[in-house]
Amino acid sequence: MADGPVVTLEGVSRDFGRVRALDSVTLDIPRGAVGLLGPNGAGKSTMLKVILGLLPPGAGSLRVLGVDPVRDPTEVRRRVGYMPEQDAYVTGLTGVESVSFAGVLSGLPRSAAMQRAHTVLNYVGLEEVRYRKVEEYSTGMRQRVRLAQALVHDPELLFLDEPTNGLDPAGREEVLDVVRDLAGRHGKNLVLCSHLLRDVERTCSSVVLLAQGRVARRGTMAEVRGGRKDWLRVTGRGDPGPMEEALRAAGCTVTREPGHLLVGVPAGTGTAPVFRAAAALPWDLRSVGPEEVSLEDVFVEAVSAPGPA
Amino acid sequence: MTGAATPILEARGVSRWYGPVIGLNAVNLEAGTGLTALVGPNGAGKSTLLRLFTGELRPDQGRVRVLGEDPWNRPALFRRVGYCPEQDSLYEDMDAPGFVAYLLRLRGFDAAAARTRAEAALSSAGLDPAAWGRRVAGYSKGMRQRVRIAQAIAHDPEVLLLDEPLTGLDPVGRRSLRGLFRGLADRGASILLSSHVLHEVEATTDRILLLHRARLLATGTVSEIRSLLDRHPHSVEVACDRPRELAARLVGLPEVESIRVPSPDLLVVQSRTPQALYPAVVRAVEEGGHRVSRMGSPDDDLESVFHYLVRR
Amino acid sequence: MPILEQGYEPYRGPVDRGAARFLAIAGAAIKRNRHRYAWILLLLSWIFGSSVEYFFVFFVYAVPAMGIQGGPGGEAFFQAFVDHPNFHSDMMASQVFWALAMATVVGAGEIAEDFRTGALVFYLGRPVTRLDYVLGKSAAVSVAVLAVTLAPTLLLFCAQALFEGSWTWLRDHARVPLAAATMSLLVCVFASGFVLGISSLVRRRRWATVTVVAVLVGLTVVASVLAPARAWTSDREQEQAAQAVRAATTPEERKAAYRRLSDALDPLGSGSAMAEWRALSPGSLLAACGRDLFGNPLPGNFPPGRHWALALGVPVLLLGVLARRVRGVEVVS
Repeated sequence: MADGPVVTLEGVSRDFGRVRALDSVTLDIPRGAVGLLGPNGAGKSTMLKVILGLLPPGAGSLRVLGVDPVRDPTEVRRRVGYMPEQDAYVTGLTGVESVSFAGVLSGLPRSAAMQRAHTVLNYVGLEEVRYRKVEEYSTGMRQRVRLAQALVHDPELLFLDEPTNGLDPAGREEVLDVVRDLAGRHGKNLVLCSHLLRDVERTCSSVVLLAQGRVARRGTMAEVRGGRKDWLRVTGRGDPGPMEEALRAAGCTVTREPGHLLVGVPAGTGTAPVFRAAAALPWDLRSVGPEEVSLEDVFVEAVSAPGPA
Repeated sequence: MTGAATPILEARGVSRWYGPVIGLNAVNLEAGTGLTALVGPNGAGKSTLLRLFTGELRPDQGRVRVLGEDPWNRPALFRRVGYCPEQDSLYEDMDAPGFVAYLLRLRGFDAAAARTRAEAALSSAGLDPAAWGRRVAGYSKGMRQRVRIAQAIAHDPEVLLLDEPLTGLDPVGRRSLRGLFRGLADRGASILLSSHVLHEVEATTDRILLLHRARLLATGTVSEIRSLLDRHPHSVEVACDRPRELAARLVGLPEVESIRVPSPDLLVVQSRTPQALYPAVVRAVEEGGHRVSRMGSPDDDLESVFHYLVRR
Repeated sequence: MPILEQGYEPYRGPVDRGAARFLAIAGAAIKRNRHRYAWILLLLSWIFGSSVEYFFVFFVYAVPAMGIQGGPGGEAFFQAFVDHPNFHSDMMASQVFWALAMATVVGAGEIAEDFRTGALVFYLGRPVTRLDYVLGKSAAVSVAVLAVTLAPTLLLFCAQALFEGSWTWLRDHARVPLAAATMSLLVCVFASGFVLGISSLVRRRRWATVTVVAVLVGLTVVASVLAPARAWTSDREQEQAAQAVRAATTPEERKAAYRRLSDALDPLGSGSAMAEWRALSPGSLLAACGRDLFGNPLPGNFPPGRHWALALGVPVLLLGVLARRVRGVEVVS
């Protein structure tokens, strides 16, 4: 299966008692790095369980990498790597034993699993610590082990649930580097669930946003965040007054926002007026780019007034 | 908005060890009204500092003052200070309003007032009233976080010490609680908030204290810290047509340290003197008539400054 | 820490889709339970669980072989017990307590521990079914149980066979190894179900162990109080048998007399009016099933039939509980 979406859901519904966790969801999860967002209780966890074959859908059907998780759940989990949000380790095993065990459970021969465990642990950056028991690990180390366990069987599709939870910025950056590397250079498909939207903005190429059991927004990152055409976001140092005047004189509309200027340029002129004005004044221009709504704004707006996209 | 004449939170020459492990190393800092962010890598000393201010720990060296007094063993101070810890330790069998009311009663409020304040605090913290009747043991991570925040603000403290208060919350929750803290700070509270999520910190706080390896590494307002950026190697990306032409125009300039053309429509320039670099780029674009779709620096945020300062 | 220095490598090797995953799970469980005290317990169980029988066999076979004469009536005494058809089933009955103890040590905290550390989430994220999980854990407990039940019994049987040295003996006692194996299997199933099922209901390892122990001890105590074993009550039959022993003159008479005494001391029999309640104690329950397997008679007042229903029904029920608890786990918070 070289093309086409990695997961397709068609009219999938699932109830929990009186709560409708998933409400007739029809969705294609595209290839590449996809951000799966949503408020707590929006149905992300349920969707994940249904996709992994741990829960049958009440209605509707789905395919994961071409496999039906209702009929063959273990095959789905063989092809998919899952990195849970919370602790998930077997006591009594060292780091490398844990990862190797995970490999064996996924069907790798024992020696291949051990060799692969070491390779993957190198990749995620766990060094001598791998020979100590996982009980003794710090949060960041346990996270790396979980990531290694998700990768050991070389799955085509990875589900990463809050992979940067509890890590400091340096740690987060390392994990995101791995995510970008996997998606970019190695062509892996990833679904990243995270509440840190900035991280999602910087690593994912598409986004699916769930709210109240339905898909509220979906699309490529550009589509979902897309601002208006011919509107630019301009930042610089120093008093923006002169710049505002110069831009207005050039036929642009300028609004002052906290920390930046929102500039509407005449159609088709691109960023030229901004550079012209900055060079002429001169004004200390620091950044120019298309107006982009932050993912957080999209989220808040989608959640308060959800509607199918 | 920096502090008044006497700082509300003060640490002078404070050191604290845990056996051989150093928690804080001769730290001098202060904070006044408004929202101050405490940032730093794991193990830098943020939680230690907060616990020193709450009076839970004593410094091994130096002294700590909260509202002018030593917080150690000072129950009166307890009433004016609110603390939201990082660890999860609630009384599992109580319900949320009961738990918060109980803590309020420990602070000296009578039963009725405690109940009212508890409910108000839980509303501010965004805990769904439908969940108030249930035992805390059944709550999700996000709900438990909101209970912790509620107990910290319920008694309208003058000083609020928050250790990673937004963990476990979804983006909507994060935004609304940031707004809550901002509001409290604007009304005159002195808030010290530790966080790992730097872009949120940038957006909400007045001042930043950066801790690293148990020492204070940098302090200042957000704009002061960001201007530190100007002193470190800095890359600027320009997405344009004919990047190599633009590169040719720039490569001769002294402020340019290196240039890369990683793809046919992208130019990346590196410099140690960004103040000189930016105008040079602007001029070069104008002179060459390049169509630029995007120009900016991936380094132009707090995270890069942090990264740079910590890696030095 | 440069995390990209090694680079990621894809895996092009074989993947076994039908692998016996439960063995790997059992292996991990055994590995984490190689406590020191499990070995000590194993040693003790051999010493105390099977010792009486080993002791008797030693005096019946080894001592004469060494040319030492037992005292007058000594050989007859031991022979009566060794030749008694209940010999092997009684041996296994006395091992049951130790088997349950070993199962508790190895298995009581297993499920609880897995809940605590999220190991269940780990397992369920892999191509492992709930059946694999239950089988794997049961296999781990069963290894410990077999070490205490089947191993010493088979060893003893082999020793006896060697000493007897005749095919007729072997043919006559052919049922023994088969029955021993089946009985061990039954004890494995019972112990796994019991211990793992209860462990899945309790959240913490310590409490799980305590609960299992409490239930086992509790049941045994109640059974012993309501239907005390004959050996502890004074009984006319015992008196008479003891008298007969004292009165016997010839070795054959003595043997027969000891036989009667052994019957009178039947641990499964009870003189109490509430003899049915004997089946409440897991030890007696399994011992009764053992009697059936070895083709030995049950004491007259032991409730017939019900013991099989309980011995199989209870573990199956508890394993069902385990399966259900495993299903209810939150994979994503």
